[in-house]
Order: sequence, then structure tokens, then C-alpha cells
Amino acid sequence: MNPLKKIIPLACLILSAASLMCCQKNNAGNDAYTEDGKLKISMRNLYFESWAGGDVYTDTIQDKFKVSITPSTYSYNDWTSQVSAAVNAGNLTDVFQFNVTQFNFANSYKFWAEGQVTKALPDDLSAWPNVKSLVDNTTDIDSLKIDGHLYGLPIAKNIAEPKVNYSPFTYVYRRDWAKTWGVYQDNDVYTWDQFTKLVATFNTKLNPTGNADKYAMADVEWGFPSLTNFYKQVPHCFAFDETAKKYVGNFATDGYVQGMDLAKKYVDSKVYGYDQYNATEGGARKAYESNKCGIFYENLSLSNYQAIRAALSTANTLDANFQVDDAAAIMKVKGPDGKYALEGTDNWFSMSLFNYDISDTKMKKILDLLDYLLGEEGTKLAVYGKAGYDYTEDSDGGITLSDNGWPIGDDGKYVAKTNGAKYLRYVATLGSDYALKDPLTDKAAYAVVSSWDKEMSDAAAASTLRVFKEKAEVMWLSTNLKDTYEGALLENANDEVIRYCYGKDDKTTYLSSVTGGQWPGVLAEVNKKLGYTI
Amino acid sequence: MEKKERHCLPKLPLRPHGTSNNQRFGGLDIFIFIILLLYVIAVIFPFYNAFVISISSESAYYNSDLLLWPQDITFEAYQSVFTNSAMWKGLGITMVLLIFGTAYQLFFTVITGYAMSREKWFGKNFVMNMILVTMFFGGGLVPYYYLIKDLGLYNTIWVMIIPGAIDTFNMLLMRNYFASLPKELEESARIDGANDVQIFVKVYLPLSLPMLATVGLFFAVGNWNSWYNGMLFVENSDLKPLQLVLREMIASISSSVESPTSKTYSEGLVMASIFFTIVPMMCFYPFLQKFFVKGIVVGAIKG
Amino acid sequence: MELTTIAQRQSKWHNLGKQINKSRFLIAMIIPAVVFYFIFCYIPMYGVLMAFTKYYPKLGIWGSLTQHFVGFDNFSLIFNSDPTFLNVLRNTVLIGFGKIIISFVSSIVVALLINDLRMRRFKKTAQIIVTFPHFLSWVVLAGFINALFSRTGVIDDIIVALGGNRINFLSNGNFFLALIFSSDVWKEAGWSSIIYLATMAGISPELYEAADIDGATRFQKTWHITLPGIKPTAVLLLILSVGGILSAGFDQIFNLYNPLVYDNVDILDTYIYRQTFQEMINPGIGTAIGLFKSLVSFVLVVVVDRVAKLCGERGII
Repeated sequence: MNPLKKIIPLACLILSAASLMCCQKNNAGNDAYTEDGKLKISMRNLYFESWAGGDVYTDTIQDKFKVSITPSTYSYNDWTSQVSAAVNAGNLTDVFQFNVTQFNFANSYKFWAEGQVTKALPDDLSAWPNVKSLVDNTTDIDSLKIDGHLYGLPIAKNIAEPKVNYSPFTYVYRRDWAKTWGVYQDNDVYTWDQFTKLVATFNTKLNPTGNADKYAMADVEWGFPSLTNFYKQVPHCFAFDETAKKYVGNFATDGYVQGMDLAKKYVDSKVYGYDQYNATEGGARKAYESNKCGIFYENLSLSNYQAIRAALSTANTLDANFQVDDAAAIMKVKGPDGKYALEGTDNWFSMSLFNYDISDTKMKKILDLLDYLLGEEGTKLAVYGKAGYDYTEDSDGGITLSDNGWPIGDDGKYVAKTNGAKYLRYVATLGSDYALKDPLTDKAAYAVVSSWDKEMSDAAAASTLRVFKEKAEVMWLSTNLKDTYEGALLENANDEVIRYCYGKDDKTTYLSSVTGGQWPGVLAEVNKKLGYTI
Repeated sequence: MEKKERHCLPKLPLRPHGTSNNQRFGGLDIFIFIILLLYVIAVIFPFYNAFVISISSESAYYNSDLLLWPQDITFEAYQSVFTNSAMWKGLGITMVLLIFGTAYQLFFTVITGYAMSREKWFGKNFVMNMILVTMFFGGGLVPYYYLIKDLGLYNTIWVMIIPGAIDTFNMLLMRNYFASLPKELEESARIDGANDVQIFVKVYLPLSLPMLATVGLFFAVGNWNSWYNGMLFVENSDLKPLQLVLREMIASISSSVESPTSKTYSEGLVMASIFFTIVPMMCFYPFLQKFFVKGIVVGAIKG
Repeated sequence: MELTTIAQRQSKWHNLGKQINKSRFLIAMIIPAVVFYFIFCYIPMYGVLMAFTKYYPKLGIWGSLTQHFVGFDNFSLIFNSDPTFLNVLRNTVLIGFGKIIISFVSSIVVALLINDLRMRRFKKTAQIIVTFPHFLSWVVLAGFINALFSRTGVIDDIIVALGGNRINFLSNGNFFLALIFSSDVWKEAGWSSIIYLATMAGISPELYEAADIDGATRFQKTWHITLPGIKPTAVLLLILSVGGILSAGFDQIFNLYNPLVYDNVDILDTYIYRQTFQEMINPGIGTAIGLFKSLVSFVLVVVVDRVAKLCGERGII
């Protein structure tokens, strides 16, 4: 058949189809209202779980502010896909959340701001004092401003006292085993030698043949190798070389390599018995929770820590002598330089971003909501529930929980119920400020974590804590470099580190891959942009 | 139309050829049997393993050295699954997809396959080319997303049904099948004065029931297992299909993300959820299997 | 002369009308399909143009096309500056090709085994059991594989109990590759064998009886009668699967892989997925790769189809 005869009708078809899409409707910025005059707001967040509105607390908020909220949740695995698809197809909810520590974020953030995808917050937040204080207390907030405007609300991790500028990645360990095997040190404070001795002892006792499925140490999967913390000067890609007065790649610095070699040694001697090379997240923690691991490196947020303790208690119910405090003690390790080492971080990892198409009225309404929830009354609603029904307050502010509102479940703990106000509050902060008040908090766990917090703050004040953090200029948007390059570089380098530690590559290959490839070009550009000469 | 012709179906489709029943079992037979037995065991074993994990307690799972049979039996995991409303909602959605979606897909795919199998009618080549091009070239996600939005399908249950109307691959299978049925059927029906629709409904359709069942089963399985469209286009958690709920359960929030709601699922719970999604299939399957094997037999013999 | 021309023209239209009228039922049958393909496949097709722009969400595709046209920059970016792409391509071909061959061979072998089995009851049970895995989704299968092959999984436990060392199956690139192939066989071989079994059942028994008379061994009977009998089916299935060689199984790899085995098992579709969804800034690159993949698949299928036609088999195009 004449090929032209085949192609022409098809071409016409395609053209006509394409022309239909020419008339794409533009999103009008008109607000939608429900029949009873409430402003419709759609929000999407990672933490909303299965909240779909309809509970009495959501209704309280909705009635008070004359809004109608439609929440939806991201699935963690598909978070990036879902946000990306929504952005590219112009289908964002009014408020959406994104993970700032995703390597592409800063570039995207700027791109979205300039491309009219996200809407800036009002420059003057004094009408919302609680929100304002949240923003003012955010570290490095200026790096998030583009032309002086803030294009999203950083979701605060920690707004309780003491406010810290480091991230609590640390070692949870089996104090009970340490005591049994004679390597325990008072107050869980270990010098470097004591630490290595404890690790060696755990290794011998737990995994004598090298073949057992118990082991001395495991890192949470994305945090391997934790031992580099004690040697490296910055957490990620670009370390500033003081003598040479320029940025160099972090992964080839002496400090980093030293730490990595120690990790490799531990892998070879099966101290790191857990397979970090191929691990699905959660495996190391489960191992620890089931008595298979002596030391576990993890991001010790209150909720993580509580969960670990709860799991350990369940796993050891048959052991009469079991003390969960001893099974999940927080280790304080001083590195070879005699100081504690913690990664410096900002007090937020994700942001609530606003769709460009929402009107100013809607933006103001949302801020009103958040301001209320951050205030005293709103916090009580989120934490306790409705006054008079869920709790009663006496004259000096003491709270008594009612039986109706807070029934006790079979395990002796309060039954959590769906409280829309609590979920809404996650749009601004993760709730560390009310942890002590929250009936659902495990008070014992809270006590441990907050005392660790206090000790580290004291150490920081006394300069016995080394906080390693990337310089702001290279961290964030002020240079916009982090994501243009750090994303791919960091991922590849992390892969390289694991390959080296697990014997897939030798030292030469490793070094050439973290100094060659894209590195020289990137470093040149980084230094040039920041004004350093090569 | 007076006479309906039926072709003889072979009696037992899988009688071994080339051996008479009088021969004794030779060494080769034993060998074949053993290999097949090993293969069957290899197929069953992962199911068995998952089942053992779902029945054993979590501490037994982590503390035992070799979990080949259930230890410390507990039905906790299954209890959690059955009381998890998200799983039931997902099941409901998937059932809707299964029933409506399969019928919908079957209808359109079959009539299209039939039409494409007839020779020489106006526009046939054009349509064939049109379909073939779509097998290879697609516009990608972004315009598709716009389309879904503009059609008003976003965040509704229909987004998981409507865009699946015709599966090109299965349509071609049906086309080949219909084309392989003898032309005499059509000719004789035409002589009797039937039009195309009547020929289809009264002659070809009854003949191809097994094939329809087969293709219908393909679609049903696809609908039961679908999650991708739901992940992209559905925000409402009440509309999430079962596999999507399962997927979210198998990987929970990373601990690098300081979450106020830190949930992890025990291995036993994951396995129990998996069984929740596959047991219905395991129950129906042996019965349906007979039915569609016959269908493929008929189809293959004709083709 | 004029009269004839007009008459000719009139009759041409008249003929057309007649033809349409004759096929009106079939045309009516095909209309839903045409509408469907038009809406869901052709309307979005302009999206391939995204490969030629830097995409700005606010402007949509047309806006980006008119204001930020970059021509073939995206393509050169992929081919020239990204070493991963060639690696991915290599993996895709390797895995795709390997899967075709392995599944081809394994489904025929399984069919032969079941066909030659003489214990009838076991034959039926075996068939039911080995065809079932086809119906599982890869989400479920990933769960099974992790439960079996992870470090705390039962396979490693058995190895240790027998005195060996724990093998990290999921971390070793080669094992992982073997796992991809073998899990594919586990899932699909039984199902694919049905088609061959049915074809084998259709082979005339007289051929076998004649071979018996000639004193042929079972192996000879298989080689000379059974295998040629299934050749047409096998060729058809082979053609159909070659078109999909570049797809190589997105669902499977996507659910099983992790960043550390990207080297060995990252295929075009998973790479495109990451480029499209996780490269927030320029999804055009994902589209460009997709376009490349479509073109190559198309060419492959046309070639294989021609080859099949030359060999005398019926093609699909």
C-alpha cells in the first residue's frame, strides 16, 4: 500500500487531536465556597494518615473560621512522584508539603517561585504572632527567602526548649548487655577507647562465629556509616578547606576516609553484621527491637524512640528482669578528639507550600487557622480535645481528662482518636512543644530524650560538643548549588562509600570516583560562584 | 438461521501423546515426575514461608534460627488486618473495579477485536494503523494528567476504570482468534440473511465463550492487581484500591523524616496483609482454571 | 468526455456511500474504539513535544514549547553527558533479551514436561499450581522475595543450618540479576506453557502412532513431531514479545530494586520513571528518553515482523 496513504490520515488525526488540547483552560484564581458559605480549602500532607474530616474537632475549626477542609495524604514511597505529577499538571492542592532535604528541592523551590507555581507568604506576618514567631525562630530562614519573600512555611521539628540546632542522630544501645559483660560506663558516657572496647566486646559475645544473625552494631539504612561522624568536618558534599581557602569534596578528605575505613573494618569483622549494602528501611531497627543488635544508630525523634521502647517491651514480655530503660539507653560517645559529635541541621526538613492560584483571602484564612492552632486555645484543642467534654480545666490550669473523651484501652494506655485539629497543626509544626502535655506520650521516654537533649545543650555550651554542619552559603538557596549538583553527587558518593565498605571497590577506585567524574567541574563552579579562587 | 455448526472439541486435551497406556512407567517418567515435583514445591514454598511468618509471633520470627514451621502461633497479625478499615475499603474499591471494570473492558475489547477480524470493510486499514501507532507512541504523563483533569475523572473511582477500555494486546488476541474461525460460518449466516451484528451475536459469540472467559480473566486479574492509576490520580483515601493500600503498608515512612506518627509494620502483619489480598484469588482459581484452559485449547487448535 | 468524468466522479462517491452502507454495522462496532483511542491516546500525544522544551508548569506544554523551545538539547544531554544512560540501555537490552530467551525456553520445557507426564491426577494439580503465580502482582511478590532472600530470610537460615555462610542475595549484583530472571520464570513459565500445551494437544495423534510404528524414541518424537507442531505459535509469541524487549519488566524491577543495584538492573523504564518524577525541574528529559524508546521498539517490531513474514509465518502488522 502506498505509504503516504497510510500516513496522511494518521497525521490528520494527530493534528486534530493536538488542536483540541490547544484550548487549555487556565486556572482562575476564584475561590470556591460551599453552600453554607464556607471557604473550601484543600490540603495534602504526609502526616494526615486517614483523616478525612468529619470529626468533631475538625468541625469546631471549620465552624469557627468558616472553612471547609478537604485533606489528603501522600504515600511516603510515592511522595516525590505525587508532588511532581501535581506540579507539572497544574493540579496542586491549596496547601501541599514537600521534603526540603530531597536533593532537588532548592532548585525546585526557586523554580516554582519564579514560575508562579507557589505563592509567597505575606511579608508582614504580625497579624499572626504565633506563625511569625515560628518563622523568626527558624534557623537560616533567610536562605529560604527569594527576593525577600518567603515562599512556604517551614514545618518546625522542634519548638520546645531547649531549642537545638543539631539533629539527634545518635546511638541507642543495650545498657543491660553492657552491664552484664562489664563494659558499662556511668551515665552512658563513653570515651572513644571505651566505646571501641564495648563494640569489640559486643561483637565477641553476640557473633563469635561471624555467622550468627546477631551483631554488635547497625545503622539506620540512610545513615550508614555513622562512624564517620566522629571524623568528618561537614555532613555532605562540600567541605571548606581553611588552608587552601576553597571548597573541596568531602568524601576524599582525610577525616572522612579515616571514619570510613573504620566502618569498613567493622564490616569486615562482622561488627556491622546487618547488611547495610542491601537493606530496606526499617530492617536495622527491627533487628534492634528483637534483641538481635547491640547498638543502633538512628534519628532519635521522640516518636521513633517511643516506638523502639514499645517494641522492645513487647519482644521481651516473657523476661521478668527486663527493663526497657536498660534496653534502650542513649549512648553519649566522645570521638577521638574527646568531643561529642552531632550533625548540625536546621529545625525543619519539610515545608508547607501554597498553590499560586489561591487568593489572598484564602491565604489569610489559612494563616488565621494556623495561628489559632499554634496558640494556647488551639493547642489545647489539638492535644486534649473539647473543653468540658474531653477534659476539664481547673482554676490553676490543671487538666483533668474525662473518661468519655479519653478511654483507656486494653494495654492500659489511652486510646488515640482522630483529632482533626492535631492533624491540621502538622501543617505548621510537628508538635514537639506539647509532647509533655500530650496524654499519648510515653512519659518515661520523654524524660530520657529530654535529659539527653539537656546534656547535649550543656556540652555545646561547654564546647565539648562538635557540631558539623555545612556552611549556610553552600547549603541553601542563597547559592542554589545544593541541588544543582549536590543531589547527584551525594547519591553517587554514598553509593560509592557503601561499595567500598563492602569490598566491592578498592581504595583507588573509591578515591577516583569521589574526586573525578563530575567533581572537579562542580567544585570549580561552586568556588567560582562563592567567590573563592581555585 | 436454522443450523448451528459446532466443532468437535477434543475430549481430554492433555492426554499424553505417543505413549499407550499399556506401557510400564519407565525411568524417564520417574525423572519427569521428580523434576515437576521439585518445580511445584518451588512454587509453593514462598507461599508457605509467608504463611508461616504470618502465623508466628514477631519475637519468634526474629529470635528463631530457622523458621520452617509456625512457632509461637498467634493470630494477632490476621486480627489486625481484619480490623483494619483501610484494607476493607480497599477491598470494596477493588471489587468495584473488578466487576464493572472487567465487564466494561471485555465488552469493548471483544467487539473491537471482532470488527478488526472481518475482512475488507470501509475504514478497516485506517483504524488498524491508528491502533498500531498507539502501541508504540504515547504522549507521556503530563498531557495525560491534563486530560484526566479536564475530563473530570481526577480523584474519582472512574479514573481507574474508564481509561482501560481497550487493551490493545488482548484485542489483537481476540482478533486473531475470530479470524481463525472458519469463514464458512460467516458466509452461511450471510446467505441466511443475517447482518454483521447478528452474525456476531448469534454465531461467533457463543463459539468463543471459552476464549472470552480467558480474556475476561486476564482483565479481572489486571483489575485486581492495579495500583498505579490510583497512586497518581486518587487523593481521597476512601478510593484507594487494595494493592495500593498494601503497597503503602509494605514500606512505611522513613525514620530520616521526623514523623510525629512513626508507624512500622511487623513482618507478620505484612505477610498477613498479603494473604488478605491473594486468598480470594487462590480460592476461585482452581475452578476457573478448568474453564479457561479449555478456551485456550479451542483457540489454539483453531489457530 | 466531460459527461464521463462527472459520471465517474458521481459513481466514485456513490460507490463510497455504498461501501460505507455495506459495512455500517462493523463501523458502528468500531466507533467506540476509535473514540477511545482518540481521546486517551491521540489527544495526549502532543506530549511528546515536551521532549523538545524546557517545561514550565505554569505555561503548560504549548506555552513551554513556544517560549522555551530547546530543540534536541535534551537528547544530547542524555546521550553525551550522562554515562548512566548507556549503562541503562545496556541493562535493558541484556535483561529484555535474556528474559525473552529464558521465558521462551522455560515455558516450552514446562509444557513438554507436563505433556509427557503420565500420572494424570498429579498433572492436573501441577498445572493448577504452577500457573497460579501469574496472577500475583509484583507488589506481593516483592514481599515474598524479601521474606525469603533477605538476610534474616529463610533461605539464608537454611544455608547456615547446613553449615554455610550467609549469602547476601539481594546485595550481590549478579545474584540480583539471577533473581530477576528466576522470579520471572517462577511467575510466568507455568502460565506461558498453557498456550504450548494446548497447541501440543492439537497435534494429530496419527503422527505419533506412525512414529511409534517406525520405532522412534520418546526424545525423537518430541524433537520431530512436538516441537515443529508448536512452531507457529512459538513464532507468534516471539514476535509479540520482541516488541516489548525494551520494556523488560518495569513492574518487577521497580518493586524489587534499590539504589545499590542500579548498576546491574536499572532499565529504561525505571530510569525514565526517576527522571520524570524525581527530576522536578526538567521532565522533558524523561519524555525524550521515552520517545527514543518508542522509536526503537517500533523499528524492532517492524523488522521482526518482516522477518517472520519472510519465513512464511503470519505476522501481526
